[in-house]
Amino acid sequence: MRYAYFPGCAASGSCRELDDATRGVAEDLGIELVDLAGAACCGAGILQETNPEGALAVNAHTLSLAQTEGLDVLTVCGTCQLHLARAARSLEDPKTRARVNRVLEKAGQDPYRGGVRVRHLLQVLLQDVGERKLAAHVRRPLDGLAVGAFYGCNLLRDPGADAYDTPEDPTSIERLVALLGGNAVSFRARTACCGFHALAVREDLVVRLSAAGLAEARDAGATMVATPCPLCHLVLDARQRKAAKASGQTLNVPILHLSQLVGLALGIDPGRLGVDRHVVPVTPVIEKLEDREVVKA
Amino acid sequence: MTGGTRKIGVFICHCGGNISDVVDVNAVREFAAQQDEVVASTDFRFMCSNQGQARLQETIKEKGLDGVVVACCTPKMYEDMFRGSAKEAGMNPYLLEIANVREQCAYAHRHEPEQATEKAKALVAAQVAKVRNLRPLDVKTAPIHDGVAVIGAGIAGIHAALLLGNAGHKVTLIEKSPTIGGNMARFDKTFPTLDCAMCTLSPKMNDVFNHPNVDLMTYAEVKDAVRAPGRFTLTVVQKPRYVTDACIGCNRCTEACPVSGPKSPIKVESEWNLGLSPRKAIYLPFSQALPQQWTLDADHCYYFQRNHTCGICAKVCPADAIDFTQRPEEVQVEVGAVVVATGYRPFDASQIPQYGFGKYADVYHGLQVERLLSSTGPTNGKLLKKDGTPPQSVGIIHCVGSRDEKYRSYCSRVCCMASLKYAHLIRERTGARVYNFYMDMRANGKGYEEFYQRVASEQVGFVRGKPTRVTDQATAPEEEGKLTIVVEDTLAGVVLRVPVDMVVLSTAMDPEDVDGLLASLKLDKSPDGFVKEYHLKINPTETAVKGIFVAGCAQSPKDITDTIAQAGAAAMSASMFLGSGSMTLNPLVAEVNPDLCRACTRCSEVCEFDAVRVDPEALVAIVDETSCEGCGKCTVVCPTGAITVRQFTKTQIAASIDALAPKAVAP
Amino acid sequence: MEPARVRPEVPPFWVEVASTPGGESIATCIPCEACSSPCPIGALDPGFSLPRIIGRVKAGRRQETLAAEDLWTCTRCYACAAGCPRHARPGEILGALRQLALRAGADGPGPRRARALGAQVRERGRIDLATRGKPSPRRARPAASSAAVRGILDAAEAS
Repeated sequence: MRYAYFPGCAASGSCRELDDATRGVAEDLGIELVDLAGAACCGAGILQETNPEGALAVNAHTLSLAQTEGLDVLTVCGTCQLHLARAARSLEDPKTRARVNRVLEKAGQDPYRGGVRVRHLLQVLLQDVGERKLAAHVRRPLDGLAVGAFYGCNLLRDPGADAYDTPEDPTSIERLVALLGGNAVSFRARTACCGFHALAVREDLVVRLSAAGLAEARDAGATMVATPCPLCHLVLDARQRKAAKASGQTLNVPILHLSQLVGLALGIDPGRLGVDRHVVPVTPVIEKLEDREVVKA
Repeated sequence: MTGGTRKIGVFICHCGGNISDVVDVNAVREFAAQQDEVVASTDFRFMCSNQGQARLQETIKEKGLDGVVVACCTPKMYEDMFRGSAKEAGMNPYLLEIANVREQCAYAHRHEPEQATEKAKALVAAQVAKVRNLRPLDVKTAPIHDGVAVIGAGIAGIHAALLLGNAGHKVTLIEKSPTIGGNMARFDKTFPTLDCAMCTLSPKMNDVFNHPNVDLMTYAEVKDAVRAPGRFTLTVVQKPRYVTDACIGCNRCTEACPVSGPKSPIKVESEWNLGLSPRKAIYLPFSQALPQQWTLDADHCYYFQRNHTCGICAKVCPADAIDFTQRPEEVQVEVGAVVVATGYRPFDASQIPQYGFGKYADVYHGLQVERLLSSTGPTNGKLLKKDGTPPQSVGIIHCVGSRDEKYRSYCSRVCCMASLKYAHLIRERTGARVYNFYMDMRANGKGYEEFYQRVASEQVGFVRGKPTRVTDQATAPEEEGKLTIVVEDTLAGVVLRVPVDMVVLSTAMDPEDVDGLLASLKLDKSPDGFVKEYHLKINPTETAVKGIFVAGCAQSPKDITDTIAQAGAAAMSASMFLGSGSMTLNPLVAEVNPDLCRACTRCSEVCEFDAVRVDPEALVAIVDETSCEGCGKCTVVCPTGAITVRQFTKTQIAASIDALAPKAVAP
Repeated sequence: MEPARVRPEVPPFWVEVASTPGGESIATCIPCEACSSPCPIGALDPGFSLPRIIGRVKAGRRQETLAAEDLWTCTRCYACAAGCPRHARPGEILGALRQLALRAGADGPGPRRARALGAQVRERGRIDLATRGKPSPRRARPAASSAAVRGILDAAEAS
């Protein structure tokens, strides 16, 4: 299994623990991640507004880099997944592709010929690795760990999301947590938006939004929350104290990247997964797991 | 029947629980069995089912019943059916009565089952008592005249007349205006397919005009109608055209006529173009009019108005077709059935002064816009303002008069689609900016929602809100010389001022003014002013008067699709009625005992249906059994008790009341 | 409140929106408000209403719409599109409006941030999403792609 790895800006920057954890998990599961040296930001919906044609061309460039390697793209971010997949879909239209390729040509870049698929790690784990193999690799089952499944919004708006889940009522993270031996906690707000994009304008609303989601997860019995999107992580983890203050309640819900959760179950050392970089401490919740012996393969 | 020898059967229906969940049907059955002369008492889950009726018939045959009470739902539902079953089983059907224990007991007293049961027993006892006093009635029939009159030659009347003619009936199609075609002939295009209206209508006009079974009377109005069993006699006034059928259609008379000329003191507006163009005193409404026979409007003619000083039309006519001596002529038309297809007219928008209709030159109603858009219209199909320039912007206001308690509370059903059609045609023809102002968008027909989407994608503006006014008072430079529509955009929550060059009012559909006709046909109107149908849901083409049918917008606002469908259904109903050859006369009407009648005429004075008259020679009241509705008003005023309604005689009613009344009554 | 003025002589604002990428579906929008209840921001802030923003566009209130802060309160979560009976994508219509706002030189925290992040992509090939926290060595240096990205973005803008 080889993929053109697209970590995205968050995992390449402020959430680099996501990058570390993903590489660890990939190595353990025998997934080869090929770095795309020239790949740029997916635009995150912002470049799509400041320079819409440019955003499409930049994503076409990223896809053409993957095409050169003969690989599909693997993402670890809901927003990257959405915007790259959307770009890939509109670039399947020959007219659009020709128009964008003219831009690439002008900039001295190779054209994109179409056909590259964009897949999120969640889909790759469930479909490409497969449930049996994944279960076989679990060396430290997440016994008794009540994990809230927080999908966020963008991952499920990806035009291909319905290939592995029902966007309106998803279950894939719950299935994954169960495979890892954990106790999946489902709650209504799991498909809600974390509010990330409104941070600059209305942080007050964003923290209320995330407080509501986290409170719901906690009330449903989750002792931690796993998310497939680092932007959600940035809001739910880094601004949790503000959310608690704004809503007048104690939250204290550690937020794990999906890759970190998988890494824990695969027996990877929590330090290597970068859990110590989080604002809300993760250690108290996973202590019990750490004490447990890792089952040798 | 002699007392004490009746064999009465009582049948109690559960109505699948509707009755039996409240009323104790076992108790009612046992109670009924104890009534005098009741020889059979039974209950069943559904008396209206095939098995229920079979049980009724078997019991009649086995026990030789000569009286039946069915305790079930309202007699409006199944009385006729049960009587039919009884008749098949050999019993006189008029010996069967219904006790309504569903609506009057189970429904009305849902939460008092015991009282409901007692009431059911009482109603059954009352009907048993009545049945004991009933006598068998003979059913009379009358032959039905084989002709049919269709009143109104718009698309509904034309379609109905064609179908009836094709079915072999002798049709008289009566149209009050000089041409057939109705409002549809005024239209430019029809939604949602944007077919040319005349291209679809004109062949039907020609078919009906040339149909061997259709006798066409144009410029003729029904003045009176007399009803007799199986026959209507219509008095039709043929208005004088002053042009004979020698007319060859050369148009020289119109060209020569001085009326409405630049210097003429007499000016007439074209009815056909709804006041948007002048017309001469002698004219053909429009080029495809049928018959192609010119009409002279005496009210606006110099010959008639100025002591015969003109007559130029007669001078120029090469066919010698002008005949100033014509007078209105009354024609009697005998038919067996009548189809009322009198159509609609647009609501008078000047009743809503804030929209400026009649005040501002460039405020039009929808039918006028049809004429402006039509290639046969006053502007040859160019949408132009009164000053002759094309509009740059047009506002279309929906629901003008419709859905407004102050004017017409009903939805006129076609205006949303017509407005969308105007929006499409105006954008296509002029490129003008078009705004639709609507309360709700109602696009409920085949292809209609799709048409709405199509128009929405044509850069037509939609503002959800009912405009408060149209004004020429400018409050900003861009409003100078424009008509500004003031409206709250309820979606944006803000008041808008939209300056436009032209305002189109999508006016309500009003029923055509046919009160006189409806009165002579004894037809009712529903509260909205349209002709009342027999039953809105299950019998929308018949009326309460047997033999009279209703088609098209006479019954309610309709688009062309629905009008055609209903006109076809009305024609089918009329054809079946005519084809039955004879009609059954309802025996449950008034009858006169000549021995008691004193010919005092009180009965004929109170009768609302003109069903009783006094024969001046025999000095006795005579009931027209087709007109009598059996209302009983005459029986109340009759001083001698000579007139009674069958099966509602005083003895029969008293028997019921005695059974219902508490037993111990003070003497 | 002063009534809004519609100028029929200028092309309607919604036509401009419909010809902006993402805004195409505005023509099919009917006032069903199916986009309103799934909106997480609308649920918290009664001042934010997608149908109202679209209504403003349809009423031709261009300046007011493009200057309004609520364009930037939208979290781009696209929950609004799920229930739309017309396949309209209200969230993307808002995206189109933000494009127009940026082009029209709108100012405020939203437009400023969008411009800053857009510039970051052009300069460094990626954006710095965290507004706080320790700068990572990786974030300090431009991505390997930055020159290529600059070329592509400039070529797109020129086309």
